[in-house]
Amino acid sequence: MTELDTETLRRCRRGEPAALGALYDCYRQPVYYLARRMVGETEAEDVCQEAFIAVFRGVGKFAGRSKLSTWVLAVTTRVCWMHLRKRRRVEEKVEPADAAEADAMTLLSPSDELINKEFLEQLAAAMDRLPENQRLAIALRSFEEMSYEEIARAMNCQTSQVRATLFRARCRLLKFLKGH
Amino acid sequence: MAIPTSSHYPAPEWSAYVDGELPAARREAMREHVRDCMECAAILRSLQAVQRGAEQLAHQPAPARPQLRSRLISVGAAVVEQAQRRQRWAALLTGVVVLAVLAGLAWMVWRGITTPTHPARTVVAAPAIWVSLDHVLVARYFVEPPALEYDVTIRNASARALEIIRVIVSDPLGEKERPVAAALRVEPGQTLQRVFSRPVGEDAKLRPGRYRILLETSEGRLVAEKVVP
Repeated sequence: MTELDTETLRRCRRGEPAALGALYDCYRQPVYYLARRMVGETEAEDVCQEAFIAVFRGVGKFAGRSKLSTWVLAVTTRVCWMHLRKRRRVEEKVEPADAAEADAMTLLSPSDELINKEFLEQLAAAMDRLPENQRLAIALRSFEEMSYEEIARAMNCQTSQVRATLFRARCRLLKFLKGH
Repeated sequence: MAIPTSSHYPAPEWSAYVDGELPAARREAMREHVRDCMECAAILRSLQAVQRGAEQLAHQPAPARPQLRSRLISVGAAVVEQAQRRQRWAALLTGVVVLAVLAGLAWMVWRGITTPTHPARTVVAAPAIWVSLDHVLVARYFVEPPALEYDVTIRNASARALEIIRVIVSDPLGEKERPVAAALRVEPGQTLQRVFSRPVGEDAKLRPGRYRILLETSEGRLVAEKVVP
């Protein structure tokens, strides 16, 4: 993920339209992807818009303690959570990642491991079936620069929790993919 | 095929391995292990496939929305300006509150220096006003009944008149804390010698013990004692 340069960030804080446009162009892709994964395609654009307005509102307070991309994704995460809370979608109950789950996790056959268009479609559908926090962890982890620590900051939880959540999410995804 | 749970690395470890979130030594050991272990290699391949797939999904281009972009930029400029205005007001308000608190503290400090907090108590301890019990005796007069007399000296060196509201004596002869007199004024700079008395029985004699006189005044309580051996 590319980062916005400091000069453009400074201009964003002053509210210069060109700089705000650059910020939008820089983070449109990850913000949209995160919104798409969390709230679905139909509402992703609304959430994306809300997220950018929140980013513009808060950019003056961004202290630079983390990467700007991490902060933008954390803001998007909060907007997604609020949106989901409003919608009150009933999610599946999250199961603990105990030994039983690990035992039950079936693996892909070698032919399934080929990443093709069909696999990606199945994976995207499987991701939509994940509980919210697992979906969020997987989506954030999809940006390879996001470490466990950065994901934990965005999700407002412990690093150990991120590790466990990612593992549970992958177990589920494999189950869904195998059952497809 | 199920994930094996013994004599292999646990599945959560492989998940962290895929994310590159393990210490280097651990990672190296797992890399060595997976070369010879078909079961762990299968787990690793599956987890890697899922992760790579998720990464590819994340990099699929988002639909271009030029209208959304231009709308967001114009809204964004207004939002930033509003946020800046709010921050300026917040800073101003904070400044006013800080100044008010500082002014309040300064006033309290000034007031604490110039005004005694407990005037009645401090005067009692101050040398400007004091009382001493010079003598205690049982007096017998021809026409009056015998009385226990307290010869007292009261010195008022303060700038204010001292009002003695009530005098209470306690002694070994009779009841304790018995009021004996009231309403007496000692002017500023005046030293007053006074006898306070209370009636006693015909055959009363001075007994050994502690004789105590307490003056309730406008400036607080004054106490004097005398021990008769």
